[in-house]
Amino acid sequence: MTMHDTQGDLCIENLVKQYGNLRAVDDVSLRIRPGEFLTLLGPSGSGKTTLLMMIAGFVAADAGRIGLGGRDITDLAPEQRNFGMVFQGYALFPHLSVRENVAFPLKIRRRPKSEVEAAVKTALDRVQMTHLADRLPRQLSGGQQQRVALARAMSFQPSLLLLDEPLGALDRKLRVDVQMEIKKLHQELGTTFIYVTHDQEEALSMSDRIVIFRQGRIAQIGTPSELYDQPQSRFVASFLGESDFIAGTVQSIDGGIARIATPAGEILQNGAKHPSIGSAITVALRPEKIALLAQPTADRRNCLPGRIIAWRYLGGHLSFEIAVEGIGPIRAEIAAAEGQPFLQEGKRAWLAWQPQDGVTVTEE
Amino acid sequence: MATEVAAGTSRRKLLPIGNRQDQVYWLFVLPVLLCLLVFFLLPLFQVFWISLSDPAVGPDNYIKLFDNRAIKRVVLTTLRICTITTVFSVVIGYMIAFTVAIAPPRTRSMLMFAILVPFWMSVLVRAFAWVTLLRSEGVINSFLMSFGAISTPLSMTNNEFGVLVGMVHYMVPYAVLPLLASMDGINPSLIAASRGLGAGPVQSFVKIFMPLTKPGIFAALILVFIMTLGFFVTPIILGGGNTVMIAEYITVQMQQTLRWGLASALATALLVVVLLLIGALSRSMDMRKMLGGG
Ligand SMILES: Nc1ncnc2c1ncn2[C@@H]1O[C@H](COP(=O)(O)OP(=O)(O)O)[C@@H](O)[C@H]1O
Ligand SMILES: [Mg+2]
Repeated sequence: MTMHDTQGDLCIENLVKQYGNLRAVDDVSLRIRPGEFLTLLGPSGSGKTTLLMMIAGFVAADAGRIGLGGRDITDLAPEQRNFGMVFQGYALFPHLSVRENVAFPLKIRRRPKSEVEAAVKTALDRVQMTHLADRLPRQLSGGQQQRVALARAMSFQPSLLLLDEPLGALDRKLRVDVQMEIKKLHQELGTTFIYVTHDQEEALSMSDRIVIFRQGRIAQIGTPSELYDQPQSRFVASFLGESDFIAGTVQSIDGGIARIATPAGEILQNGAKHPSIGSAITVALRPEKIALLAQPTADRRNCLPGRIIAWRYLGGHLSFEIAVEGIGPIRAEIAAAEGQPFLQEGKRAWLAWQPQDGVTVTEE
Repeated sequence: MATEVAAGTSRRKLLPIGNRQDQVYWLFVLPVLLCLLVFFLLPLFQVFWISLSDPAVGPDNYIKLFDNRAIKRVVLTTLRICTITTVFSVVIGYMIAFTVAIAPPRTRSMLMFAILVPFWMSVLVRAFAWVTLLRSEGVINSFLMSFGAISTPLSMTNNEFGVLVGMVHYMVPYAVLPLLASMDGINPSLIAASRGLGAGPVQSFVKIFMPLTKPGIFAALILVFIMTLGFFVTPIILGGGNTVMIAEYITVQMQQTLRWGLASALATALLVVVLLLIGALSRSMDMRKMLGGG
């Protein structure tokens, strides 16, 4: 196999890591462009850390290869890869001050003293930690430690920054702040970021592209909006945001619109590639795409009858749970004003949406 | 305010006086305290008293500690042997502890067993085992002579060398435990971080791992040194009277020359030194944690 990487691309090809019977990373191929903010997103145990550790060089690959700018680095020792890394739990050196922690990668590289001082100052300024430079890590709060870890990872201007759930230990409010800071840092530095998280909001708000992991495999790669609007599988549709699923059988296809028979009635679904007539199909539908109507209507072309089971008031909108005969409970999010007439348990309602609102997904 | 409350509760735990439950508790502890008083503290005080009163009341015995040539020699020998033993035990202990610390779980429990076995073996047995190995007609000498590596047996017992071998062997496990405790306390991701930031394995060891085990090294040094100060059986058996350490010298003064006052003064001085060292040790480290306890 040859590597056709362009300048600076990080190229992952058919990477495998096996732990006993478990394939923690299972035939993963991925190309990361220079300067990109790429997020590895997946449930806990899906192999994100393992893949990141393989990129960093801490975990040896059982098969496959990693290339950087045309060079094979699969077997290169971690200290020779020149990647910055922010660990889960930060891994600040407890016996070194903030300043010494940040200087560590520079001193190891035997940079001249003046250069070390300047680089440490720049890095600490970037994360606004200069005033605490002489503290020990244990004298810092979680958020401050997190900043120091970032400063240390970038002080030597690595070409690639690897971050493993860097915000995992922070409380929610702080997390949003630091998300913004990291995003800003990425724009200022122009360094490639590979960011691991299991938090979908974090992934959606920060990334250029997201890789969704499932059981060691890539479920889907794409920009946040691609993944949100066009999930390919049931897994992606439900992992990233919420989705309702309607299963049925294709009856006919006419001009890109499939007519699908479901236990609750017939629906229409747009799509470029529909399965053949007579085969099973699953449509994923975002709850906010659904409208609730008192009567069926012609201008929304899909209409299924249901009964209100429950609702929650969520500030600007209402989240309804609606029983649809033969399909099960469906969630719908309705603007608070439009939902008012349906705040009654057992009330009949029509679920309506357009054929282009749904997405055909695989049943995985 | 919060700290005051915390200090208050912890003080109450230390001095459990007041409520009924605590009184029952004292009732159970009392016999032990009485035993300690009668069989330990009183004799100890008596030793101290003898050191000041035998043969005549006054500090004469303590003055002798500093200007008696024989005592000076014994003290110097003791300090030399203890220092060398401590250094070797901690260095060897460090290597063993490191091996254990990075071993996979199964290997680790086997290694731990091997390290702990000596604790159940009498010091006497171990000293004689070394005599068998080291003496002129011993296993090592006859092995070396059998294929002509040496022509006359190496003298490895009845001298300081033999004592050192026996003592280091005895002390290594005591060095391993505090060292291992400090190594186990190191977050493995620190080493990974060091590697990831560009330090090779050796640099990572020197700049990150070693400094983080400093408290363990310090604890091991003091612990081993304290214990070696009181060595008695091993120097007698492996030193054969040529290498006299303080404990043996004290016995000689008591049983043969009958200078009880001098012996007591020596014993008291030794006790004070040991207590000072323990003070330094407990200040630097949580003792229970150090010995691997819960
Ligand atoms: N060193 C290891 N030995 C055995 N199994 C491991 C090891 N590291 C990870 N695993 C397993 O590999 C899977 C993926 O782990 P990980 O990459 O840490 O997942 P994530 O970071 O996505 O939560 C998990 O099932 C985990 O138990
Ligand atoms: Mg992880």
